[in-house]
Amino acid sequence: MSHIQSEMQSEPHLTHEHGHHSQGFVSQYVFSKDHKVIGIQFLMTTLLMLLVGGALALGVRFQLAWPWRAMPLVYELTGGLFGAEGGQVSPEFYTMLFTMHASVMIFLVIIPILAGAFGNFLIPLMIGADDMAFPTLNMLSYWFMWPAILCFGLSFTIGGLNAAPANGWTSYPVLAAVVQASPSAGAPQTLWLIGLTFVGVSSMMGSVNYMTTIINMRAPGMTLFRMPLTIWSMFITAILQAFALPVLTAAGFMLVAERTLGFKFFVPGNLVINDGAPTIGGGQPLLWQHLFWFYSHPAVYIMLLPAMGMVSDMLACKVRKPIFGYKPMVYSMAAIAGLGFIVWGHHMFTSGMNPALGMTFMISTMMIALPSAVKVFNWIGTIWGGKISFDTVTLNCVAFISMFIVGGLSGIWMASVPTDIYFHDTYYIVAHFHYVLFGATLFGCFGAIPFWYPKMFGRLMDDRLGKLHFVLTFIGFNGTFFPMHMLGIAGFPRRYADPYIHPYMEHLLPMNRFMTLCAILMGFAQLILIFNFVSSWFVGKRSDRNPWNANGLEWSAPSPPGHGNFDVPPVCYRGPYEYSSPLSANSDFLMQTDGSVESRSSGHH
Amino acid sequence: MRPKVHLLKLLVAAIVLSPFGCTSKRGPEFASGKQTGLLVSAAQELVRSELKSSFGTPTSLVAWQVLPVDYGVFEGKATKFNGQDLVVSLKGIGSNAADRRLSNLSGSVVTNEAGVAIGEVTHYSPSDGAMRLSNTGEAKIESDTTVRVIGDGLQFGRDLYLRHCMHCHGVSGDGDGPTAKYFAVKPRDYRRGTFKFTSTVQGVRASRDDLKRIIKLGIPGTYMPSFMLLPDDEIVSLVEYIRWLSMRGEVENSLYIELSNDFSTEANKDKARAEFKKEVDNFAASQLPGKMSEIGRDLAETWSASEDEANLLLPKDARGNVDGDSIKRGRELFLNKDVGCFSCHGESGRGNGVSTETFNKLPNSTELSKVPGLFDDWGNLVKPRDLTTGIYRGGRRPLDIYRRIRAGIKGTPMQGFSRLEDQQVWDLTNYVLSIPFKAHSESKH
Amino acid sequence: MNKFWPCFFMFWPVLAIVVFAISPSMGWWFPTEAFSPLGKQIDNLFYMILIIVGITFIGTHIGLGYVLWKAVDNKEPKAWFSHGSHNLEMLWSIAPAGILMFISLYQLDVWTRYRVQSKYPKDMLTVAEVTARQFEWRIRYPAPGKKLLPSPQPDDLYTVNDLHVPVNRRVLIRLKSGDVQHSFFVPGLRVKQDAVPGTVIPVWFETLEIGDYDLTCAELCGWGHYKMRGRVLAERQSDYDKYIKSLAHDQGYDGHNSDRDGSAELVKIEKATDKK
Repeated sequence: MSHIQSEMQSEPHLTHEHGHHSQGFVSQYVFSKDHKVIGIQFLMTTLLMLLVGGALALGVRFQLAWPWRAMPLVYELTGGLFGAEGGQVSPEFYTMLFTMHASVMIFLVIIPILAGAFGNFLIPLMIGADDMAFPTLNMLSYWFMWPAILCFGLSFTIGGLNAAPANGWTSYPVLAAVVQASPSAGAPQTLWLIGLTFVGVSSMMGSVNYMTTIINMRAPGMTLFRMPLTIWSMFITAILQAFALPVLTAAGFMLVAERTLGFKFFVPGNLVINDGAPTIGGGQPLLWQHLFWFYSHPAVYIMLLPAMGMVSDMLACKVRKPIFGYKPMVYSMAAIAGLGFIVWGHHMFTSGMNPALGMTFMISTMMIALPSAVKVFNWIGTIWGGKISFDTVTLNCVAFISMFIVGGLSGIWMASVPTDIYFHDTYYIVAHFHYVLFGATLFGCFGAIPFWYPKMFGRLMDDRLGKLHFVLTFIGFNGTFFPMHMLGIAGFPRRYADPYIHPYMEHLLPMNRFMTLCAILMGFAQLILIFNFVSSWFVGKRSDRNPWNANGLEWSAPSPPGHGNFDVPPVCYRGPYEYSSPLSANSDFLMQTDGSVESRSSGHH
Repeated sequence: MRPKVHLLKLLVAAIVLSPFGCTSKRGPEFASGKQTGLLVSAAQELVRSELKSSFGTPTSLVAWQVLPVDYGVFEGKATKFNGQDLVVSLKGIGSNAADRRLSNLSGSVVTNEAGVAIGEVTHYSPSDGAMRLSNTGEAKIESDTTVRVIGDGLQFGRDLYLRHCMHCHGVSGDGDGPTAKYFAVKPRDYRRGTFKFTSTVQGVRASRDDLKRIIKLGIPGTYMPSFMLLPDDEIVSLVEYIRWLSMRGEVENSLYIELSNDFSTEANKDKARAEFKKEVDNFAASQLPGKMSEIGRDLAETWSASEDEANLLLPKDARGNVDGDSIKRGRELFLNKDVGCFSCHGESGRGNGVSTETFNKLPNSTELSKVPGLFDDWGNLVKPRDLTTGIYRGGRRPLDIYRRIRAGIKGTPMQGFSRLEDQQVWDLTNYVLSIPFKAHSESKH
Repeated sequence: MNKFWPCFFMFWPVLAIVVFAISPSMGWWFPTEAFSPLGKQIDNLFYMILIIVGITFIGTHIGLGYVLWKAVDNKEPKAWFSHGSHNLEMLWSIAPAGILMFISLYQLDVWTRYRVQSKYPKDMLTVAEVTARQFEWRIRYPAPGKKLLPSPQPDDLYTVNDLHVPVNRRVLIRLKSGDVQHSFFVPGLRVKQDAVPGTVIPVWFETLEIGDYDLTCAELCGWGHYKMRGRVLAERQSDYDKYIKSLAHDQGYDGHNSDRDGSAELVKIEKATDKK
């Protein structure tokens, strides 16, 4: 064992002495410029939003399982909304529920938990920097989340309790462009678009910061191909964000201008909506779809790549083996990012765009499955011949792989245009993207939280509770989302408040009930995570610097690292995945900072 | 480990109970009309309790037999009866009967042939005819007597109404459901008993067929969609329920008129509350039963009249040839000062006539409106139809247009033109039907 | 006990496969078999992809289960120190690439035939213009014996939510939207096409059997999205002609050219529903 390791263990409290600067509470914990505090702020916020988004999803599930039955809590929470109807919600309330579920989950949970929480916390630590390149920008990036949350929150109430954005998170015009087409989403829809802009500003600040930090602030010896895959994924994600986001922002402004100032970008003439005067103008609704998906398809990878990177790191540590095919992993992420820009049209196969485009997008979409497949094979290869220990982290990582296989494979039907004719906008697509976004990304995060928790708080999370949370979530998740494949094949369209008025879907009600029960199970299981997260903060087992015997630079810093992160300026000697290396005689890991081995083996010592 | 086991138990319990435990026992409720709110509270109470005893609540309906509503009737001969269980093989009678509802008769009332209630069905199995009753009353039945089971049609209509219609039209049919506030064209408030598009002559209510037609075809240009594919028995039950809701609203209104002289808040600002209570009780004891049966009789009469063949509006003359001359004559009539179509619909039929810009009298009132335009009986600002769009809310058959001109659109400033000759109405119809194409060709040149 | 987790992760794919296997018999499968040539081709493609995907799914999960099982069981003092294998990387890049390329090229033909207008069959009957609006399908037929013109004609026939087409005939509808975006979805025929405001999109299909096929909306169009219940009724050419005639008769109805009012149109609708 290296002498650095023993030094760490002998001085566990070094962090406190190092970390104490004379800072006020506000500048230390609220408007902090420390990337770790910002990362933790992001994490707390997103976990809170996860509960909000989950509650909205349960509302959706309730309506599908017990259509038009009094929805629990709606009456109580809103002070009597739908009282005269006996608690039976209105159809536009249902559209609000799924719209806001998607908006909250995508913009306030998945994107910020990956880039905001883990990106912020991990990037400087993993590359051996003392902070981000632009700490103030970093702080602003967090605080720009709050206007967005405020906008989203206000949009629930500003038009009365029964009004909120109700046009789907995709907000397709004409529905979202003409106020009268979806009157329950009047001002709220505009507010929602403004909130989206704030999310965009927040993400953009983050991504500029990540790129600069990763390019400029790596520790000595940390070459590009010695970077952990987490850093690679964050880097690629940041590039994706930076190139795709402006398009969405521009589109959002166009839609706001259309809704409030009477511009005509998306609305064609001669539409009679809600008994209004015929619309005037020559807009093109498909323009929005192109602009929107030009961002939102890369966004799918923004919502996935960092999880892929983190799972690679965790998995290598948990099976005590180097990543199988490190460079192919990097290249495949780059390929996903590159191809991610030319596949947006697969959301529009039935939209009536030029069919030649359909063919092009089909081929590029099929090709994007390839790097994903390579990654899956490499993960399996990584486990191959490893020595695995099943704790919460491992379980979530393996679940990630398994769920990602399902989500990836079901995408093939979507990618192929003729079958997509049938599956477009049915529950099949709902199953598909939940398997990718929840099954893959969130399971990845559920693994990453306990994995880096000791680095964040200096304590370990409870493994038993973690396993209980995992098992319940896994069962609930598959019980909820696997049957959606069946619903999709049965032609069950998305976003229906009461599908059962169509006789061919009547028999699917029991299945939906089952799914809702599973969703409720899954929803309650998240309380275990929250409980575990909060209680471990106070009563969790204290952790030393490197509780997992991992290799990364972050594990050579104190737990939790003080201001400036490293007490010993790190120098990187090798790649991050040298587990079970024959070079280290007594242990099965070899930290990136460990310079003793190289010198010993090369005989200079 | 111990606390964790408890946590698990709690979780399981919460999950199992959540769909049931959290669902509150609240049911939908009939809202009181605005005018009822103008009465003193004791009188308001009286109106509510009277409505409740005659119509029940949405979860527990009451079939008031005086009304001309087909509540859904099944009839059969009872064989065994022991006070609570009887065996009877039922068959539907009347228009609102469907055998597929037989398996769900619970809540319906069982009567003997004379109409005396025997009890309420809690369970019935059509296969062996076993029926279980609750709330059994005094009336006894011998075996082999005819019994009737009444009211499941209304309940079926109610269920359908709460699923398909309530979001816009409201639980009590007041046109004020949660979704209604977003519409430029307001959903119909049934409580006046007035429906716009009818096949009946002026002054007569909508017939069952009219309501059926609107449900099936929808109202183009509005948010009333077509329910074309609902099975026929569902539409029949819906129509009966909507008629019943109308009558309920009318009873409320009649009671208000009855009570407003003596018990309106406006007129009785200075009186003590206790006095009202007494007077209202007096009224309830002495006059109310008589008034109620009077109201019921009147309703039965007016609503039955709409089903009367004699009140069906059919032209005496056929439409004849549709030629340029007829259209020209129609155009002249349209612009004729005595007929006056143009004053609302505008000279080119765009619905922009001069009365859309003037202050007109509000319906049922002598006051002028505060905003220019035309108002219907429900107090909504209405736009005269833009005849160039080719969208006809009450239907596009020549007969539909004929009826709109002849009998008017009920409850709106579009009055019927009874003075015109049949041929003149046809000329107008032909002209109206030609406007969209004329406008189209004009705009091309 | 340490084998529990590999088993746990292998249990659910088995369950998934079982669910897929029993689904057709449980009614969790396609609502009906495909009643159009396009639908049959889509179904064939679906099953072809299902086989490929199924093999991949089973293969990867067996692989995953195997390596997990082995990794738990690993008695070696240290894990296998390996950074990967170039040959394997090549293998599992090229093989999926080939399969994916095959899948995409294989189906270009179906797509071309159904969506590229220059490849449309020549002998098509343009039956109607379908205008989707919140929340119903308004349908305009030409008068009997006439052709459908782009702009409305005085003798056009109108109906709602009820599209009749002759069976075994390639028919084309002109799909429009009157307000927001909708999507014309007939699951039984595997037809789906968005109705985009401001655009008229020709959609063609052919029904292979007499019957009625549910028509739903598959693009969020507002609060009443789920209410857009319609149907496509495929009937014999003679029935279709009769239907168009009765529609024409009804549309011209002036209270005299029929025995009694009672709404001739309603009577007709009931008959059509009875056919189901």
